[in-house]
Parts: sequence; C-alpha cells; structure tokens
Amino acid sequence: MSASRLQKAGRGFSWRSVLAALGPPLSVILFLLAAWEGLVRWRQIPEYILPGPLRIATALVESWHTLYPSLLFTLAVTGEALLAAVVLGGGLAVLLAQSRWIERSFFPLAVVLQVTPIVAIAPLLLIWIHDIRLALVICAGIVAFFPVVANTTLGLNSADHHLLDLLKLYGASRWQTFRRVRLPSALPYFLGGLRISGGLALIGAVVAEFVAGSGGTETGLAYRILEAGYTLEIPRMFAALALLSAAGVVIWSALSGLSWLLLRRWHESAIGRVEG
Amino acid sequence: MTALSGLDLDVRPGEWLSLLGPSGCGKSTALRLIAGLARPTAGTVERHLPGPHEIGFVFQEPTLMPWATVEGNIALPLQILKAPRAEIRSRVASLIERVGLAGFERARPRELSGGMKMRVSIARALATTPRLLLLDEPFAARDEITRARLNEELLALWQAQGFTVVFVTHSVWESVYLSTRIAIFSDRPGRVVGEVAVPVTASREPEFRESPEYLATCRRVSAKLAEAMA
Repeated sequence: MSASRLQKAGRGFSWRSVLAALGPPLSVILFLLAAWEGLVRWRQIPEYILPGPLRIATALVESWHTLYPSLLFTLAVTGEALLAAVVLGGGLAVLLAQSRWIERSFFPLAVVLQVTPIVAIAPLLLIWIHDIRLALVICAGIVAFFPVVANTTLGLNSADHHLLDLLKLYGASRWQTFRRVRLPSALPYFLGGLRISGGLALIGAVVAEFVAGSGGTETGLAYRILEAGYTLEIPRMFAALALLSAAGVVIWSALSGLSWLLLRRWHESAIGRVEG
Repeated sequence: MTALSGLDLDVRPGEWLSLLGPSGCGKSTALRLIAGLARPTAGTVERHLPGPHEIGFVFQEPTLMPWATVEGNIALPLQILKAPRAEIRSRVASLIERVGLAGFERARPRELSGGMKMRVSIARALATTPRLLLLDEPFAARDEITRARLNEELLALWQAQGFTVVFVTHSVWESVYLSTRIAIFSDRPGRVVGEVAVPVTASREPEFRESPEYLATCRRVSAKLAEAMA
C-alpha cells in the first residue's frame, strides 16, 4: 500500500460517518423530548412545575433579548477562565516537569486548590475582589486549572525514555529536548485535560455567579436562572438552563474538534475516532 | 546491583564487533557505557572520537517520534547539531534513498511496518555520518524474514561506508554471520570471557552461511558461550 493511500485512510471523512455518529444520540434526545411533551400534556402538569419543551422553546424566543446577552457574558467569563487556566496551568506544568523535586514541592498545592470546593472559596474571593466579573473569572479559572496542570505534567514526563537518551547522545540542550520531544509527547495529554477544563470552566463560571448573586454590571445565565426562579417564571428558567447545556456541548465539541485536528495524523485517540 | 565487573573491551576501527551473551548479562549496559549514556561506577571508558556526532545508536525498538514524518525523524540528530537547512534536506533525502524508503518521506511511523520503522531508525543513526554505530539487539523483536533482510541491508551499509559497528545480540548464528569479531559475555555480573575472530577472508555473501568455516565458527562460539554460562 502506498504512503498516500494509508494517510487518506487515517483522515477519512464522509457525511455517512457524521450521520452514523450523530444519528443515535439525536434520536434519543428527540424521543425523550417527545415523551416529555406528551407526559406534560397528558397529565396536564402546570407550567410553573414542569413546562413542556415547546413551551420552553417559546420562552426562549420571548426572552431572547435578555438571555442572549447573558449567554455571551457567561461564555466570555468561561473563555477567559479557560485561557487563564491554559496559560498558567501549562506554565506551571512546564515548571513542575523540570525536576521531581519541584514537582513534589508544588504539586500538592495544586491538589489543595482542586479539592477545595469552589462554592466555598467564591464568597471569600467576592469579598476580596470588588470587580465581580474578575472574581467570576478567577473562580472559574481555579476550577479549570487542575486538569490542565495534572495532565500536562504527566504528558511532559511521559516522553519515550529511549528518545530522551538519543537526544542526550547528541548533546541536545534542555530547550531542544523540551521542544523536540517533551512538548509533542505532552500534547495529547494536554488536550485531554483541556476538554475536561472546558466543561469545568463553564461550571465554575455558573457556580461563582450563583454565589455572587449578580454578575455585576452585566448579567450571566446563572443570575437569569435565579431571577426566573424568584418570579416563578419556570419556562424562562428552563430556557436559560437549555442555553447553558447547549453552551457546554458546544465547548466540548469545539475542544474535541481541536484535539482531533492536532492529533489526527499520529495519535491513536484521534485515529480511533474516525474508524470507530 | 552490579551489571558489569572486570570488563575489558577494545573496539577497533572499522570492525564489526558483536557482544554476545545471555539475556541480562550487561551487554546493553556495556553499550550504554560506550555511548556515554551511562557512567561506570568504577573504571574508565576511553573514546577517541572528536564529537557527539561520531556515535549513532539504534535501540531494540525503532524509538521514533510518532508525530514526525519519516523525514522529520531522520533529520532529528542534524537539527540538534544545528546543521544548515539545505544540508539537512539533501542528507535526509540521500539516507531515505539508501535505506529504501523512497516514497515514504511524508509518512508517519504508524503508517509503516515494523521493518520500515527499523530502517528509519537506522537512517537516523547514520544521519550524522558517525564513525561508530551502536546497535542494541536492533532486530530482536522483528520476525525472522524481516530480521534477515535488515541484517543484509545493514551489512551492505557497513561494507559501503566503513564505519565501526558494535552489535549486541543473543544469537550465535547472527553474530557469526555479521561480525568480524565476537566478544562473549558471562552471566551477571557480565565480563568478557572469550573472543572469537571470524575469518575476515570470508565474503559476507548469503553463501557464507552454508560454508564449513561458518559452521566451525558457530560451533566454537557456542562452546565458549556454554562455558560462560556454566
């Protein structure tokens, strides 16, 4: 088999495979929504207890002018938190990978930050930081930070030892070793961490806003949910919730797509995705 | 744990020296000492080579960078030594040609067979035109047919280029077929218990393997190996 043919097999893309991948979950979701709508209508459940999907869709359209800016706000907070987590977490991982001694000294601190519930830290941060938006970004960033650090550190230390020997043989500098072997070895691990962090950043942004009780001058989706709860506008509450879920799914898919793009030529995880 | 003890070994320019011994006898450690990848706890390793680019190393596994193309993998040592770009390109192209991988320049390791990966590994080791090529049971994990072919190819490269080879193996047949000299290692802690010179007049054609001197040499090596393990 020629090289080019083999490469094409690894990068195969067809609408059939997309349909095969999306068909089953979409069918399940549609079925559940239909069952939900049917149940609500059949049992005549009042909308302040459980609105049907169609009612929620109407509420979404009606409240779009308030929900949409809130969605953008929450996404902005999530995005900034994720960016901070990648920059700082990636940087810390590089530092930790320099020596076992540094790793042993600093890694436990990262663990402490990870295991302390963000709901418990958020009130403190909100007292210290007057800019509420900044406090939200920091809260979400703390939650998103750990998977990046842990995975990237693991990846940087997982480089093939024989390859490292080879670089030593040619007298490679620390920087050359890092750039040529450690960094590419860490990439799949980092991307795995990033996918988890994306979802966690969104959760962090929402939890922090719940604790803050407001998004400052702007308002995020979490506050829209609280607000709708206070006034018993349950369909609007569900609409905000649906937007949050959709945002989470989009973030996950975008990061998975990024991971696939970067790894499709060589890493087993990305290759299995197409063939499986 | 002591891997080697009382090891005394000379490597002569241009020879193909095989280190033969049972598994775990410290042959690989000896190779790592020669390469400078490990330091002896006692004793010295003398290297009469001007620089780091004078040694090539081939591991038991191909040990390629999975993210890099065949070209990229072979170029690695030259990039580390900061060779000029144009020189890297022409050198890599000629190496690919020489190990018979033309047409696979842009392929990734996962798209190659085990034997092809090993060829990339050999080409990489030869990238800096080393004077000394160290091979640590390079084809032990390959199937018999691939192994025989790779041995042939390596032999041809050695004959054409005149570098020195130190080859770790645990196959008597392979060592006699390939080497000019065989150093036999005892069990742990390893040391050289015997040396057998393979008649240099013998042409390294496949017919050599059916010749009486080949069989006689194999018998001598096997006897020494049995002595070493007793």
